[in-house]
Amino acid sequence: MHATFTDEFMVSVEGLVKYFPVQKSFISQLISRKREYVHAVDSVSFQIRKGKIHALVGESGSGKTTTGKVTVGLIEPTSGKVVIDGRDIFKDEVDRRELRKKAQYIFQDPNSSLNPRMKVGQALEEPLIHLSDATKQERKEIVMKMLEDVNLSPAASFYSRYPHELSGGQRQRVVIARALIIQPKYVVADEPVAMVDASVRAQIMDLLITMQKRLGLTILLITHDLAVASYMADTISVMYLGKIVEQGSTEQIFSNPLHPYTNALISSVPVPDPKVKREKQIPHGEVPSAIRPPEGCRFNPRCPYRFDRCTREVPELLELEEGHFVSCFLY
Amino acid sequence: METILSIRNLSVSYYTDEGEARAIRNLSLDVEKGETLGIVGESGSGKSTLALAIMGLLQPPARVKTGSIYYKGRNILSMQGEEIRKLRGKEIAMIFQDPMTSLNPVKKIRDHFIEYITEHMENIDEHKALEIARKMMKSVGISEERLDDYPHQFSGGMRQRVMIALALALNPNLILADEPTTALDVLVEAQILELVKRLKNEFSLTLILITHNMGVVAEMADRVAVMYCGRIVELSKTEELYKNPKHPYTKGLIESIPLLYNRSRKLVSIPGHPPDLRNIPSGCSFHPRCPYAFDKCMNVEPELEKKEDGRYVACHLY
Ligand SMILES: Nc1ncnc2c1ncn2[C@@H]1O[C@H](COP(=O)(O)OP(=O)(O)OP(=O)(O)O)[C@@H](O)[C@H]1O
Ligand SMILES: Nc1ncnc2c1ncn2[C@@H]1O[C@H](COP(=O)(O)OP(=O)(O)OP(=O)(O)O)[C@@H](O)[C@H]1O
Ligand code: SF4
Ligand SMILES: [Mg+2]
Ligand SMILES: [Mg+2]
Repeated sequence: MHATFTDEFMVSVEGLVKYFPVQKSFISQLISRKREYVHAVDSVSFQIRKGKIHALVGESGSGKTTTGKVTVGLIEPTSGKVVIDGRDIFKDEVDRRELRKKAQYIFQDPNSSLNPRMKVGQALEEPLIHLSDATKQERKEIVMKMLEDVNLSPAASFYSRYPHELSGGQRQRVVIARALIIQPKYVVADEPVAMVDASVRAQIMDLLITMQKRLGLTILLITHDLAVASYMADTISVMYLGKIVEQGSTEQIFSNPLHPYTNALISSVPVPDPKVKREKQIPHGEVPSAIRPPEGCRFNPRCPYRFDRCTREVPELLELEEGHFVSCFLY
Repeated sequence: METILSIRNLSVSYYTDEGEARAIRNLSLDVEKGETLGIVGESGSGKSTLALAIMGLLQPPARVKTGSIYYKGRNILSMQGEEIRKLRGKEIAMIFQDPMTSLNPVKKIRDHFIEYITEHMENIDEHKALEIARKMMKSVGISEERLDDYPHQFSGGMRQRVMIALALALNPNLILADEPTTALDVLVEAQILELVKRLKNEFSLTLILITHNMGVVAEMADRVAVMYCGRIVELSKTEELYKNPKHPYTKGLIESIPLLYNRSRKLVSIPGHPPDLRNIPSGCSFHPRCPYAFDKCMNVEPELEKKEDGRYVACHLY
């Protein structure tokens, strides 16, 4: 994935680190001077080709949202580099307004990301007011067209509704429409179907894929649901406790999963088919704290294949076959 | 087979300022002793309302309009305070989706046990209660020392284990689990589901498992009831339901899930969106989204009926 022609890539993340200071009580500050940090993202690298979908998968707290937010400039990294469309967004004199036009974020919870007192039409018009030169008349036209594009039709009826007058799936469509209305090149979709009903999930996934194709969008898809990643993504990074443990094409990840964590994840997904009976490899225990991550390989306390070296050294992300990277001493 | 729970013509509504939300509409269902019955359906279809009704825990603005719920022949809905309190815990127990809201953050885990046990059992002292607590913690795989911890010292998965231990403490016969793993990550979910399976056999329980995850149901349930808009639209053995779904909603539900082991499969999405319970479509409530709808569907509400092949479907196509 580390190709030489940078202009093939819309997004390039290199050695991204984000530590959050732990808020301590006054007393514990007196007892211990040492400042503690949540190691939310620890040296993460990936690239996304123009017009492709890259998925970040992993359990809660593995650092997916933090990574996604850094890539659109919503969070400053502790260190590392993010290049969007050829520009280093934390170094070059990047105009914030330009960046927002180019890179948009679809937030995890559609309910809290829409202002309950703002009608759908206004919510969609707002980014146009700030980020485009369109006239009032033009803005209305753009909004109406976008509503039709995301299948909120007839547009006129949805234009003047409030969020509470929409179903969960319709609300998610509004959130997607708002992110796409200024025609960004890159979009982070953070758990876009986690909050919508099962019967509407396929609709929303298909909508994102359609918009991606139509607009030539590049998407960073954040999801804890492997099936969603398998359906939508071209390439995948599997995250565990702030690190990428495996990376490759969707085909490579699912047909030939290498890392013990990836294997465990895949075999734990409940299969909606009673005929399929599988041996599950359920690792014991739960994800350890990101404040004091385990020494060595971060997965070692739960790994069934652990050996000496795993507790002492940190495995590097190595390319085992073309485009397929894994970070594990078994390989 | 012995029927342990029998629901007849149950209707429940929530009366709010915006009108009457008809959460459960004329629902009948039998649960057999020893089975795992899965109840699936999307958000708002009435699953939790049904569970609360069975536990006798419905509160205003909810009101039971019609119907009865028989547990071992006795109507839960006509029971009074003490009688129903005895039933809860000792006969029927519930596991909720979010263990944090059902555990008191300022109380140690041991006190949760002592309180729960002494409240429901007569003539039992703290010492005996603690003995039960230790045994239960062990059976859910947590060491008994952790009885002295507070809920926040536990991870999400461990809290759910504690909830399961509490629910089983009084040796009930029927367990209602409402989305017991929805808040958990897949690996922890898999651990909890394994645990539930094991305990179900160990304690010969009847289990009603509510979830919107078709995968969880496929792995756990003997039979599945599919709810849509306050009604059961299909009820059948798990294998039959997945192999040959009958109701168009069930079909859509199964065909719209992406599968890891069959990634090239084309997904079919159900058009439209779930209805507003204050304004339920006429006839079959699924008709505005149904690709097979015909005239009758708009006017006549289909009943859940047993068909020739022994399957229960509420649809005019059959
Ligand atoms: N603003 C913050 N301050 C302190 N810690 C934070 C902050 N934001 C995130 N964290 C921590 O960083 C880690 C990674 O969080 P993040 O939200 O990126 O995970 P995630 O993979 O998106 O999880 P989820 O699937 O639950 O959304 C977690 O341990 C989280 O508690
Ligand atoms: N306290 C309440 N007041 C008003 N309406 C309510 C209340 N509780 C539930 N409802 C409504 O009753 C209907 C059924 O809700 P219920 O919680 O039983 O659904 P559910 O199938 O459990 O959904 P979910 O999958 O989201 O948990 C919903 O439309 C809901 O909005
Ligand atoms: S490095 Fe060791 S502990 Fe880590 S995943 Fe590989 S085998 Fe397991
Ligand atoms: Mg997140
Ligand atoms: Mg519910």
